[in-house]
Amino acid sequence: MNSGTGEFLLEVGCEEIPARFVTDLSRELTMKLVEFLEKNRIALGDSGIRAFHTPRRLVNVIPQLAKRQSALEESVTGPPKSVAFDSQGRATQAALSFAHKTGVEVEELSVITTSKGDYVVAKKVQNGISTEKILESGLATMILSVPLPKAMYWSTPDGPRFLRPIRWLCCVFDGKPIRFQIGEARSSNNTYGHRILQPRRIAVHTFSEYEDHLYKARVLLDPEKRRERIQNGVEQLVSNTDAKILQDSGLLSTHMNLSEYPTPLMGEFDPNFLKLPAEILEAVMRDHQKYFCVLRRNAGEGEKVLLPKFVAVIDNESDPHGYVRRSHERVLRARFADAEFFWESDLKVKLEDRGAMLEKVVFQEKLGSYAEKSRRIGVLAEWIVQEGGLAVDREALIRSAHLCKCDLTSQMVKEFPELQGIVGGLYAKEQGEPLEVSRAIYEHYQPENLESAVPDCLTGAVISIADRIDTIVGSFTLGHRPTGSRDPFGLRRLAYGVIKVILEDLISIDLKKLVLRSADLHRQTREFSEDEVLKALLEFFRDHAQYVFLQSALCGGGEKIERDEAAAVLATEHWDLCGLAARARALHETRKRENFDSLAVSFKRIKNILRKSGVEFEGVGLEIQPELFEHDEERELSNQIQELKRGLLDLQGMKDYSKTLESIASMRPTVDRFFDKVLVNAEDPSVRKNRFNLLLSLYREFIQIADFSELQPATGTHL
Amino acid sequence: MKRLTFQEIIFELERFWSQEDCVIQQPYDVEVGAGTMHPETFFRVLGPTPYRVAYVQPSRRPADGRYGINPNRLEKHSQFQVILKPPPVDVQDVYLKSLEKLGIKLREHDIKFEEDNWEAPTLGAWGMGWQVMLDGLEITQFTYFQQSGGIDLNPASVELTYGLERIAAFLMNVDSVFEIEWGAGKTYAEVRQRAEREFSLYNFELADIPTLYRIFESYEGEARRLLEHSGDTPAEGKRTNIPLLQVYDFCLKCSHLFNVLDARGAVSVTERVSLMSRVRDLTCQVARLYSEEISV
Repeated sequence: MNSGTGEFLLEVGCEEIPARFVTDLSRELTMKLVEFLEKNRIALGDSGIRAFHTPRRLVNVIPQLAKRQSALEESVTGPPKSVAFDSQGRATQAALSFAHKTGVEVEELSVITTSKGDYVVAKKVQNGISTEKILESGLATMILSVPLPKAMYWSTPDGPRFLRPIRWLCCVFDGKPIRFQIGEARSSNNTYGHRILQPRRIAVHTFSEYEDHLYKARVLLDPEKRRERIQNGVEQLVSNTDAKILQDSGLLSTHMNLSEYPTPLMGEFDPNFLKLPAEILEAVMRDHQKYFCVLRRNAGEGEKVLLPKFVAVIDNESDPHGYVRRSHERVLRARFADAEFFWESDLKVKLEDRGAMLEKVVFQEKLGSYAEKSRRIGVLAEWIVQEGGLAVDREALIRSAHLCKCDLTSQMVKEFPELQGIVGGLYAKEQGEPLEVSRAIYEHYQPENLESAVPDCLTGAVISIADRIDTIVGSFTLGHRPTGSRDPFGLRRLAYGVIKVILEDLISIDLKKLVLRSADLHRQTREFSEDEVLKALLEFFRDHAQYVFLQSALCGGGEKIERDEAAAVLATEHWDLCGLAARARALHETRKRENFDSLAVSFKRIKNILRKSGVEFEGVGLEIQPELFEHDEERELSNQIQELKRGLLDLQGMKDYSKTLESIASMRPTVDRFFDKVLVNAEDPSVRKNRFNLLLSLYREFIQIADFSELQPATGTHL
Repeated sequence: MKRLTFQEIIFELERFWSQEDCVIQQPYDVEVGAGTMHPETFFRVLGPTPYRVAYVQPSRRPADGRYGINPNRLEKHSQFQVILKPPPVDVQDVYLKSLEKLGIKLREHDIKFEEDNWEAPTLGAWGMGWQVMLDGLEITQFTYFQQSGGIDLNPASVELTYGLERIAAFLMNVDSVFEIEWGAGKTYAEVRQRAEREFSLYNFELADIPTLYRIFESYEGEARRLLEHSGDTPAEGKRTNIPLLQVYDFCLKCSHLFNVLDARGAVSVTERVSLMSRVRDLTCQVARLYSEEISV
């Protein structure tokens, strides 16, 4: 061990940090600590830094932290050499006062040569001070500078703020305590054991001693060890039985961060409750009680059969008298009894009759009731089916749209909001609605995010799109738009869902038209500036589509497409996302064979020329007059454009975007020759206009596929 | 240790917290939805003066009533409320000691502090903290108050709210709150079940909606009238002659009427927001005037 280094241990002892934040908080603290040490020129050493956390502590250990700051060499430039020294090389007054000012002896001044001549330089070496001093003066500020998702204070508003109160600080460097203070908490070399099992104070001098003592005091410091303990414990509970655990990594992480000494424990419930739908039982166990569900091990393929058991994770080593188990069982019994009551009393009301109640349930103050929303969903859903030529039963679609929000008036959804849709689907099935309808209702909140599955049935997929578009467009008309990281209405998640369903189910519709249709429906009740809203919406969808396109699995699979490729196809003003994804994929593939770089440059040039020329990019009446051509290159380009036009028409009909791209790429020499030889800005206005039109017609063919000006020059082989 | 009855649980908690230097207060005599609404919490957390208080507060939640049939839901339940201002550094340990006084051997149980941030919209009050879970049962709300009446608290206070029925059912190992032994040989059912039935009947079926709206507006109007009242020149050391505690009582009345209307299904989501913000405006004004006054 290098005698110039020492072991550093920092433990920030807190009241229970929320489980969902503690892992990130530990990472942020580690980053801040490293940043702090680097800024202060204290070397971390070869062994780096380690981080641990429990609900009550954030811990960092650095095995070989330098005992001193590294020295800082600083050079200050002074007067020109010719001024500082006379012809005999003797120091002048200028040199003396410069040396005095910088605190360097005159003899130590040196000279550097710069482009402006020779100058005098004072080199100062600032010796590093001891790490201990820097830690003592800087750690408190460093800890409190950690970014927090939610800050609170526990003494006064101008006192320290953290995620939860900081109650003790254990800090040891090279065997000795480091002294600092945060609020009322003074640092020392003391830590504390498990809150309930071993709540004693423990003095420590090294990390191994610390870890060891904590282990004996029933604290598993390493989150991974806690995860393992839970996993192994759970496996033991079901080994050699007919049961298995319903795996749930999110729940596992929660428990890892809720206990310092987690121990799984199995309980049972009355099998009579199994007559309730599994979705509801699971929600009660998982979401409300944080229990793992237990399944029959030898159920049929793809079949999931709940057993009347559950696994709780307790922050204790055991439950010898069964007190804890019995209490958990009692709590669960009460929860299930509530759910059973809701199930039975909800079913007494037909979903159909709940439709009328929806008139009174506000979706959003200015966007009307859920009954109105359901009607809008119906209109949009029908539009999607027609436009996309989808094989969906119209009657089932209308019925699904009508009933999909009805479960919001049920007691079950009031108690378990996370089950909205699912509960409606279950009630629909129970009340004898057609299978397609109950499934569509059940699935219409899917996908929850980009990782989760889209609805299985097409009717559900269509309702899902219609519902989300209605919410997004409605919110935009009210000016509720996500900004930066703020997205209180969850519109981003909704947009990802829409895009994902469209791409996965290959629903070929014009998203812009759908948005316009939805805006029309909202305009029936309210005024808003349509142009501005539409512009914002299209930008919003373009950004989100671009993100989704970059997830290869959602964009036709295979290699990841590049950001500029996604941007190029999304800039085309086409809004059939499936077609755009196919274009992007084709562009990615073709780009390996064809060089689009110079085409991108030419395209950019064409765009600029046209923009400056003031011609309308869209609109009709493009007349190209061959008699005005003055160069062969113009004629050649014109002929090729005609040829391209005919070719593209066929190819696009077949959606063969690769071939289309190859045709476009083949235009390159002609375009290059045109720009080499032809001056677009001709003197004669009619010749000039003719050339603009020529370029515009080329532009219009290219932009069918992609805005090539978005493509970045390749840095690879095919230049 | 002998098993405690419902009333003995209250005695133990009162004794414990009085030894921790708390004033033992009495329940407030106006209907409230939670112990937080008692003036001993609402006003005492404002301003710099240290204060410790504990009391039982019967709390009315009209929408939670179940005619005395459901074993776990009550129109009126009992909270044991503690305010510690400023919070002592070992506040969690002190709290856990109070559980041991009730005969709970912590080592034999599963205690967790699970994130739960609390908010009382009609009071402009919120805080951060946990629900304390005992073997999977939520027994206490543990909150570091950050704001009350829309005012940053200086210093913060800790609020502990024990759910007495849950704790009693836990200690007595019974499935229904109505089986709890209240004391003097009586069960919870004998003491409270009739009230559960009758208030549920009124709140869900018989309450006359226009009348309740009218009373709401009368109380609100009276509160506003008092707030606008300037009266004689304030006495020395006082900024106003407004009887703030009286205005606050009217706010509590409004808040309770709102809850009854809500249980009756007479409040749409939009109205809900607007009614709540009307009450909040009043309570925030009261808190502001009170803070100004005590800082004179």
